[in-house]
Amino acid sequence: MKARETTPEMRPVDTARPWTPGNSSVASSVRGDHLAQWLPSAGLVVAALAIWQVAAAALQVPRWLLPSPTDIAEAMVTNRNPLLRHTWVTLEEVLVGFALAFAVGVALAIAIAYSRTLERTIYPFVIASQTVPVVAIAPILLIWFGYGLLPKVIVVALICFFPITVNMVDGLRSVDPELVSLMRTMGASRWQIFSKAQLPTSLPFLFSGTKVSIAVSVIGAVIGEWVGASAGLGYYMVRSASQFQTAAVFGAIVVLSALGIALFALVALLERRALPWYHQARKGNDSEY
Amino acid sequence: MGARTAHILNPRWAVAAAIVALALVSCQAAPSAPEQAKPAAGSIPTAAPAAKPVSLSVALDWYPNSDHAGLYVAQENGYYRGEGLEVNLYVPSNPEDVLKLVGAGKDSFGISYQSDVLLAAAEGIPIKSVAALVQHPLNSVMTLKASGITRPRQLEGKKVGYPGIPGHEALLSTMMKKDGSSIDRVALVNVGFDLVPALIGKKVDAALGAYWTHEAILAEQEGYPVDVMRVEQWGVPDFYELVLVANNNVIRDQPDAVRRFLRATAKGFADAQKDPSRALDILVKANPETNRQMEEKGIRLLMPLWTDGVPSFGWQTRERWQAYAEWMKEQKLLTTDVNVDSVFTTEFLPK
Repeated sequence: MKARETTPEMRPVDTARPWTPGNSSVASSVRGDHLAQWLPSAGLVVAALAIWQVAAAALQVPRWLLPSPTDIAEAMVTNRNPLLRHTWVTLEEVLVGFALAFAVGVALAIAIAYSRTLERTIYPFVIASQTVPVVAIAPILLIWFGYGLLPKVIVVALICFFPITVNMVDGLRSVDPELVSLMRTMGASRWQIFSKAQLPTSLPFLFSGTKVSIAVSVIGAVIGEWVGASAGLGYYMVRSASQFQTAAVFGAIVVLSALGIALFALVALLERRALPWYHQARKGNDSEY
Repeated sequence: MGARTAHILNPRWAVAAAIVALALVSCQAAPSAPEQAKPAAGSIPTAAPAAKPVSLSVALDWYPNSDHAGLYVAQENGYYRGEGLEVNLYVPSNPEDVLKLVGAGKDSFGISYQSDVLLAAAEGIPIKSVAALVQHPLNSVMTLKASGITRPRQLEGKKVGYPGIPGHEALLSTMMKKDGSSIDRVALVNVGFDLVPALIGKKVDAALGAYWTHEAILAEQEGYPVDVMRVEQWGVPDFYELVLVANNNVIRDQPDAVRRFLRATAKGFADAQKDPSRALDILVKANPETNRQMEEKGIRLLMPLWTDGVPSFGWQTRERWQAYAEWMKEQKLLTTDVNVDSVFTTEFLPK
């Protein structure tokens, strides 16, 4: 939010018009556009579900092997209370883990972009952290940190911080060198260059990284729960699978997907609000978006 | 770039793509029709000469260990080949999927648990137990000797680690009740399948779901003497820890192959009983990562249970299945009545 106020000089001239969320006529037309944009996607989902439903009935696929959409919906309704309870647990792990990843990821990115020495020291470890097979390390984390929230949070953070760090480092470096020279000439301090030039430039990159990591964050939580938990959607799936309730497993997958999409949409929305100038400019350049 | 994207999204392109896709599918489907006249892989060539062996696959319940000794002995000693069978023993990437793999016809046989067979039958998975591999439970509650916990009641207020599967809760619930307590007074912790690290790392006070022929030895190998509470000694009906299941279609279409497979398997287990060291040699040869030191003790504890109290290898009784199904229903593991006659058969066991 702050970035918006601090960099008026960076806004392309044609988008200098103040952006207000309450601008009703613009907002409603944008919303209409959005609905139209999602129609093909929604149509595809509906068509796929219809084919699935008909095929499952026609081919008499047993429900323990591949439940039909209505079987899944039925399982979700029947188990709505446990499903909701486990969803909250997973959401909590995702949010705490993601917050940790965001804080650590941004801090690492700033450190890496700040000094070559720090970059050479830290970056190899940042990359190495992503080569660790999470499924192998998750059971060990459980034994180190117990069977509560912490090991799941660590798994989520381990998966999530990397796209944030890598993207933000690139963003901090993509600042216009001429702008930096100009600011130096005008006597700007290192902090001013960072906060008024580098940081705003890096924000679109940061949001890209954040979108990648929020989409995979849910996977991290489920892996953490899969190897040992007493609650959460991963645990719910293991238990349902152990009782051959395939429809319930699919129901949990539906919730997980919805959770991932909702979190992604939330970040996309935040991005729109935080970087209105960026989106206005993109809209001008690319008619697809 | 924008123009190209628009091109691909053009409805005409989508229709064309759909037609191509359909054509491909129908091309693939067409030649398979005459093939169906031929026996599918794994089916018994009734009219064909015995020269061509029948190939069968067996999905194991866990990484190869003493529980599977007889199968590997039968393989190594050529008993399967002698019966005209080509047998593939393997561990599915997710061993919990055994019954689904067998039910879907991916594997002819699988090794699973009595409780899972009943649960699977209740969900309509077309499988049957054709032999009991272990005549008693191996599942137990394991505690460190140093803790002094030797009976269920002492678990009150303690943490019990287990693999998070409902069946285990039912076992402990029965044991606690039998000892005049309740499972509500225990803190259950899902530790996944890493029971031994959880116990010796003192993350939990007891491990539920540990085999007294496996995990108990592993813990002692690590230098932690343990005590074991066997489930059948604390109110749980005596059951078959491991059973060999077959797909119902295999049973119907290839009864002779099932019979020959069980005959060879029984011979393998009989050999293993006579010479466990040689059985372990074979097991280790086929699976070099086997923990031989642990299996040396394990197989000697285990092998009496292959035939304990029964006329022949693989024997199973209606009473046991019925009692266990009733117990599961009582524990609310089963919500429907399962006809136990449809979940097991002794028809194919060697006489």
